Amino acid sequence: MLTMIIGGLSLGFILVPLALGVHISYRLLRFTDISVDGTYALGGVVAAQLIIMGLEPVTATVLAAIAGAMAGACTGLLITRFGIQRILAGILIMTALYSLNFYVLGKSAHLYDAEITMLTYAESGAIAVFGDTGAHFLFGMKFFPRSVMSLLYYGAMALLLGGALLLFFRTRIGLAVRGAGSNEAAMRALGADVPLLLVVALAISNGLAALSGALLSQELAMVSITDGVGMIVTGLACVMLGDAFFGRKTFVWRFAGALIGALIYRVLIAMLSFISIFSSDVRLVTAIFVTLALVFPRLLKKLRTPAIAVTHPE
Amino acid sequence: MLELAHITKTYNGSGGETVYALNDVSLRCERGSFVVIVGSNGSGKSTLMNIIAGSDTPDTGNITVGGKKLLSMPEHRRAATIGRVFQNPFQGTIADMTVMENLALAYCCGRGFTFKPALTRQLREEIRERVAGIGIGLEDRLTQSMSSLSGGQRQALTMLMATWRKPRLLLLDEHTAALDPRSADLVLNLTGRIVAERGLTVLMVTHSMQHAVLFGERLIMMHHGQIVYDIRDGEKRRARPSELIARFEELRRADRMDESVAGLLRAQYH
Repeated sequence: MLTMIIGGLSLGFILVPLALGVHISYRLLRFTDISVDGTYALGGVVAAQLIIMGLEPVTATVLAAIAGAMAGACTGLLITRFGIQRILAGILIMTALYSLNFYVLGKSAHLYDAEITMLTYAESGAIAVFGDTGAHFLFGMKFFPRSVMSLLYYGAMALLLGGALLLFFRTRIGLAVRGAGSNEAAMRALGADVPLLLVVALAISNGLAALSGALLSQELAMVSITDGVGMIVTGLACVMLGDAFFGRKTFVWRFAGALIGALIYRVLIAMLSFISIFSSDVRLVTAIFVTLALVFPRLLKKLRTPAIAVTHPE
Repeated sequence: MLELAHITKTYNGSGGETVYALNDVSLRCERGSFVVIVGSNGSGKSTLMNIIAGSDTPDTGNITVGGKKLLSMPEHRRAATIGRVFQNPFQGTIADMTVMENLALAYCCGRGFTFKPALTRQLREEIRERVAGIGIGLEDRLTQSMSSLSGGQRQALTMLMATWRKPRLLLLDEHTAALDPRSADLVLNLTGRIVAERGLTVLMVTHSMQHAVLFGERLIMMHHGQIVYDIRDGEKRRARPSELIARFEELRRADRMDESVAGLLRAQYH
């Protein structure tokens, strides 16, 4: 039980960048950016290849995120420079990245046979704190020091990242990004370069997705070019779970909601795998959840409207 | 201050014929002048506003504001020079940001959207003061979302945002047409006050002949993409709404005449 929660939360913190990235494209820019599927996988393969080549893991992870940001900027340029429909631009970049990821990795799937990854850091951290990496017990429940250290690292990373992004959205350009997502005409009239803001926002959003991809592939010690399939839906699920738990309207709360949503999502998935659903079913469950989350509020509204008409006096 | 030289804008009509939205329009406005533009639908007044603001481009012609050539600048680069208030009260403000954040964006206009913190304590103070200056109690609602305000309140704030830093030219594009009468009065009073206090140069399009005679010291009437009537100062002060409406009628009669002549010609040639 404890190992499951620790593992679920760790994976949840790893998903936080993705959730925040999807929050930026889906909530702030108001469109579903499918290039996230490609950039998530791109993050995984770039980090894997760099780490296998012997690069230091944190550096490799940062470079993977930058690669994702560049791909995201490409989506933005397709939209703003060439006037391609937003959804189509995302599909084009996602499709192109599928082949590109294959070239980066050299094959379609790969085990992480590297000397040092993020896991190594967690292990050395565990030895420093707990003395060894064997099983420990807390109130009779088993846990592994390595996963506790992973949890701490990823937790710190997620919170720092969330804080940094909140700070960004308090700067003039951050405020302008929010404005451009909501009302382009007003922002143009206020002198903002709306196309540039869109490119910046998509770069950040996809950079975050790539960061998640890079971290997860290291945590699972495996990488595949199909890792990114359906990641946009996963991101949406996190955002919507966050909304369900923090139904507030203010910017900061919605932002925090996406962060918490990622944690809730992974813990729920961990529980589902406990009642032994196949891991290949996870995407189906996620898709059904997102569909329900989108349909339910409308259904509720529909059910309420005739009720008022029926209960007129007399 | 504002100088339009031979602005022409055409588009293709439904029958493939060339339609003039603006037909060789030239106009000079002095610094500090308040010019009211009236005209029927399709007379070209909105096209004129869009072309000056940069959301539309003319086929030929030139525009300068304070000696600066405008046409080579994209819309967002003109924003520091030109303030604009739209007809739609929801177009000028950002619905799901707070009042404070909206005004912070207006503050950034002309200063650049950089990585500096947006809302400094000093700016918050300044915003509170200037919003209080509007006099409709919005200074107590600064942290509320813009979407919680009425159209009139939002349009009043748009006025403040468009003039936060003194623009060289203020474009008012039927900015009270979509408001209820009380809100329209409020926004118009505010307009008069801000324009007078800050000595702005203004182009105001309106559908209301009452507003057209009340505001400004110059009046321009447009028809079929041309300026057909241009009065100022004493003559403008003496103008009455009924006279303006009579002028419109006259133009419309002339149009109908043209149409019936065209109809006669068509009948003969077919």
